[in-house]
Amino acid sequence: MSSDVIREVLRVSDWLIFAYFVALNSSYLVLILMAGLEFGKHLRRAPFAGADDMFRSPLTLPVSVIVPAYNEGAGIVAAVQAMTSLRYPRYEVVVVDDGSSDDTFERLRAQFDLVEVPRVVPGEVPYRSHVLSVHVARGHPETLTVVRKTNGGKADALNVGINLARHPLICMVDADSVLDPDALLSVAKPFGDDPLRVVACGGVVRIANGCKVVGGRVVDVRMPRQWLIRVQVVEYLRAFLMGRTGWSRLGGLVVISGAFGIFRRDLVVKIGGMAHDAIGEDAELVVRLHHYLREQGADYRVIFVAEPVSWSEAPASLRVLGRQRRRWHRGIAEILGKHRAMIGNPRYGRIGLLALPYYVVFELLAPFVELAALVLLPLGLWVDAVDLAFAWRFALVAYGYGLLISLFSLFIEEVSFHRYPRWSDLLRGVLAAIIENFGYRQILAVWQVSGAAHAWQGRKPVWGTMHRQGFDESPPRDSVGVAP
Amino acid sequence: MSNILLVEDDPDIRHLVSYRLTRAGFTVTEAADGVTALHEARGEPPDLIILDVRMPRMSGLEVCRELRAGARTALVPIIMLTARARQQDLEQAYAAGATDYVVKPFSPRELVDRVETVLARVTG
Amino acid sequence: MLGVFTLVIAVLAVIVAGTSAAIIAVRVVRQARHRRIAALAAGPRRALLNFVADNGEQGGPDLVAIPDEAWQAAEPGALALLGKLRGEAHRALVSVFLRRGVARRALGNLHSRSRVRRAKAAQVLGDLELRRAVPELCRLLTDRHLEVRVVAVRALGRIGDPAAAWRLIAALDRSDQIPSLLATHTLVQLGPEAEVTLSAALDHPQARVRAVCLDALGLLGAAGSVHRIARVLTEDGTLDVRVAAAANLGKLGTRAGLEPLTAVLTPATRPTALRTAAAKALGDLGAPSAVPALAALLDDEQFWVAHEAAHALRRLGPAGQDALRAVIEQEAGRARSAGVGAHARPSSAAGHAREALALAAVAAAAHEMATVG
Repeated sequence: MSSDVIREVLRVSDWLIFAYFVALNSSYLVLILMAGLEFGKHLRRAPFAGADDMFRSPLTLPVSVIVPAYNEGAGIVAAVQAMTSLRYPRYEVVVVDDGSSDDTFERLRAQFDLVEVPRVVPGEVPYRSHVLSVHVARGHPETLTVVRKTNGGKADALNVGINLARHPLICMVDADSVLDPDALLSVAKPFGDDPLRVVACGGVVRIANGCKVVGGRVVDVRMPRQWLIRVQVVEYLRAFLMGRTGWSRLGGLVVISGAFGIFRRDLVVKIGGMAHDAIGEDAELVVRLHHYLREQGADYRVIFVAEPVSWSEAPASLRVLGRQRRRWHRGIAEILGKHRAMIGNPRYGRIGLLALPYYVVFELLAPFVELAALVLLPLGLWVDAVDLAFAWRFALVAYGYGLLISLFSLFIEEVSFHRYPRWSDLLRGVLAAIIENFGYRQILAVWQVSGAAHAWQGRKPVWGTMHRQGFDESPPRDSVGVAP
Repeated sequence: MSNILLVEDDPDIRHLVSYRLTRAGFTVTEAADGVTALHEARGEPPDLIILDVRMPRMSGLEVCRELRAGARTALVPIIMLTARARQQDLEQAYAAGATDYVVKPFSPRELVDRVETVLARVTG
Repeated sequence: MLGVFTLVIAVLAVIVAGTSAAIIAVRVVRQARHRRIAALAAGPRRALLNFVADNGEQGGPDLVAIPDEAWQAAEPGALALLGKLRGEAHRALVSVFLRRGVARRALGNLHSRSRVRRAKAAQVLGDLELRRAVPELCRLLTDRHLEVRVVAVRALGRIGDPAAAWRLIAALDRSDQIPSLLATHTLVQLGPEAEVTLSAALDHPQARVRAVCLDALGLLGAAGSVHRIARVLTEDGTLDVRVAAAANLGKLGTRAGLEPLTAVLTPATRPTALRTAAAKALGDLGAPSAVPALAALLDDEQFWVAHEAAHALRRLGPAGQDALRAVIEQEAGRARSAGVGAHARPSSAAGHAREALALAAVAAAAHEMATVG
C-alpha cells in the first residue's frame, strides 16, 4: 500500500521536475529572443549612434574609474596602464590599494611616478578602514590617483574610491579585467543618450583565457585550451550576454557585474555605497538601487550594454571554480534574503513582480531541482515508478532542451558579434554546449546548493586566492628591437 | 629625397597621406602599429615621422617616448596626429617628445605643408 | 506517453541539428559577403582615396562612372572618411557624394516612413555638412521619435549654421527631451553668431532651456552676455539655472562676474550647490580680489564649499596661495598656544588648504616637466 504511495509521489515529483526544466529553458528562450532583438536594434542603429560625437564633445560626462586592488602585484601596472589609455574624453582612474601585502603599491609608484598629496577624504559614503595616504601621478595628477588603506575588503575599498571620485559617473572595474579601448565610451553612452533616466549600466564580461593579450589589450580572441573553461565561455554567453541583455530589454535587470559596471555617483552616495556584509556586493548594490528608486517613484532605467567589453580570467581548476560558484550562489541567496520584502511586491513593479521572483524560482532554486532530478529519477526507476525507456527519454528532453538553448545563444552570438573568428573555435563552442548540459550543470548544482546552504547557515565566507595563470602574453615590449 | 615614416592604423588615412606625400616628392614607409613603427625606425631612421596618437597595441605617445629614448631616433622630428586638441593633450604630446602636431580631422595639404616646414626648420 | 516523448525528442534533435547548421551557414554566408564587398570596394576605394589626396584635381569623372553596386560597397568607408578630413580634401570628397546623388537620396529619405532610414539620412547629411539640408533637418527636430530628433540635432551641430539656433531652442521645450548636453554641444557648434539668440532665450519660461543656453554661452566665451547672465544668477527662480549661471560666469572670465559671484557666497544659508558653484567659478575667473571672500569660506561647514574654496584659492596665484598658507600657520599657531603640538588633529580648513597647496605644487612641477621636455 505504502509502496504505491511512494511510487505515486516519485512519479509526480519526476513530472514536476520535468515541468520545471521545461519552464526554465523556455524562460531562457524568451530572454535569448529578447537579447537577439536588442542586438539587432543596436546594430542597425550603429551608423547614427554618435559614438564619435560623444568622444569629441567637451560636454561628455566625465567618469571616475575605481579599481580596488588587493595583492595584484604581477598585473597591476599593465592593468592601470591600459586603463589610463582608454578612448574617452575625460576621466580619472582611482586605484584603491586595500592593504596589499605584496609590492602592488611599489610597482605603481615606480611606474607612474606617484607623489603623495594630503587629500582630505570626504566621508560621503561610510567606510570601515583607515586611509593611509593618497597619491597622484606627478606628470598628470588629474588622471591617476592611488589610495593606500588598511585592509577592509572589496566593498570597503570601493567605498573609499567612491568618496575620492571626483566625477559624476563612477565605473567600478576589477583590477584583473582587461578592457576594450572603447569599453568606457560604450558603457557611458546610455547616460549621454538618456541622462534623466539611466542610473546604472552594466557591460559584458567575456572570458580572457586563451586570448592573446598584448599591452593590456585583447588582440586575438580564441577559445581557451581547457574544456572546463570552454564550457564557461558558453555559459557566460548564455547567462551573461544573452540573459542580461534580455532582462535589460524587459526592464528587469537586477545584476551588474562588479567586474565592469558604471553608476551615477550621486545615487550611489545617496543609498550609502556598497554594503559591507554582502558577498555579492555588486548585485546587492543594484537591488538596493531599485529599492530606493521605486520607493521614490522615479522613472529610471538600468541598462546592459552588449559590446564592447571587459575580459576576465575564469577559474581554470575545479577547486577554484567551485569556490567561485559557491560564493556567487551564496551571494544570490543573501541578497534575496536581505531584500525579501521586495519579492512579489507590486510596489516594486517589474523588479518585484517579475525579476526577483524569477531569481528565486529559476536561479536560486535551480540547483536544488537539478540535484533532486539526479536523485529522484534513479530512485523512481528503482521502485518502478517510472520505467527505463521513459526515464532516458525524459532526461533527454530535459537536458536536450538545455542544449538547444545553449546552441541558440551561440547562434545569436554568431549573427551579431561573432567575436571568435576561427572555425575550430566555433566547433569547440558547439561541443562545449553539449558538455555544459551533460555534466557541467550537474557539478555546478552541487556547489551552488552548498553556497546557498552556507548563506542560510550564516557561515563565514572564504574568498581564497585565485592563482593567476596570466594571459597568453607575447614577449614584453622591451625586447622588440635592440637598442643600437 | 626625404624619407618619411608614416605610422597610422587606419588604412584609408594611411593610403591617402602616403599617396599625397609620394606625389609631393617624398619616399614613404608605412607602419600600421607602434611595434612595427619602432622596428622600422630603429632599422633605418627616417628623416621625419608622422605618428598617430591613438593606436591599438601601443599608443602613439609610448612610441614617441621610445623613439626619444633611442640613440639613433632621438633627434628625428615627429609630427603627432591627434584627435583632440585640448591643452592637456598637447602638453602630453610635447612631453612625450613630439616636435609638432596636427589635429584630426585634418587637411592632407596642410599636413604636407607642415611636413615641409618642419623639415626645413630642422635642416635649415 | 512514450510516443509523445519520442516525438518531442525527434523534434528537438531536428532543431538542434538545424541550429548547428544555421550557425555554420551564418558564418559561411557572412564571410563570403565580406569577401565580395571587399573585392567590389577595393577599386573604388583606391580611386576615391587618390582623388581625395589630390584635392579633387583629377579623376572626378571616373568616380561618377563607378557602377552602383561597387559604389554601395565602398560607400560606408567613404562616409567614415568624411569625419576624418578637413579643407579641400573634404570638399572634394563631398563633391563626389553630391555627384553620385547621395545628398538627393538622403534628403528624400528624410521623409521615409522608417525611422531608421530617416535617422540614417540625417546622419549622412550631417557628415556631408550640407548647408542646404538645414531647413529639412530643422523640420526633423519635431519628429515623432526621439532617436531621429537626436540625430538631427547632431547633424545641425556638424553643419554649424547659426540660423538653426532658435529652432533648436524651440525644440527643447518638449516632454520627451533631447539630452541637454547634446543640445548645448550643438548650440556651441553653431558659433558666435548664435549668441544673440541664446542671450534672448535666457528669458525662456522653461528652466531647462535657460540652463542649456547658459552653458552654450559659457562655452562660446560670449563675454557680451555677462551682465545678462549675472542677472540670471541673482534673480532666476530655479536653483539649477542659478548654478549654471554661476559656473558660466566663471568660464567667461570677465571681471563683471566678480561681484555677483562674491555676493552669492554668503550668507551660509544659501543653497550649498550654489555656493559651491560660485566658489569654483571664482577660481575659474582668476581675479585675486576674490581671495578674502574665498579665504573666509575655508572653514565652512559644508565640505564641498570649503573644498572648492581651497582649490579656487590655489588657482588665484600667489595671493591665493598665501591665503592658504596663512590658514595653515594660524592653525599651527593655535595648536602651539594650546600646547597640543604636532599631534593636534588639523581642522578641516587647514586640511583643505594643505591639499590645495600640495596639488598646486604637483601641478607646477608637471607644467615644468611639460615645457622643458
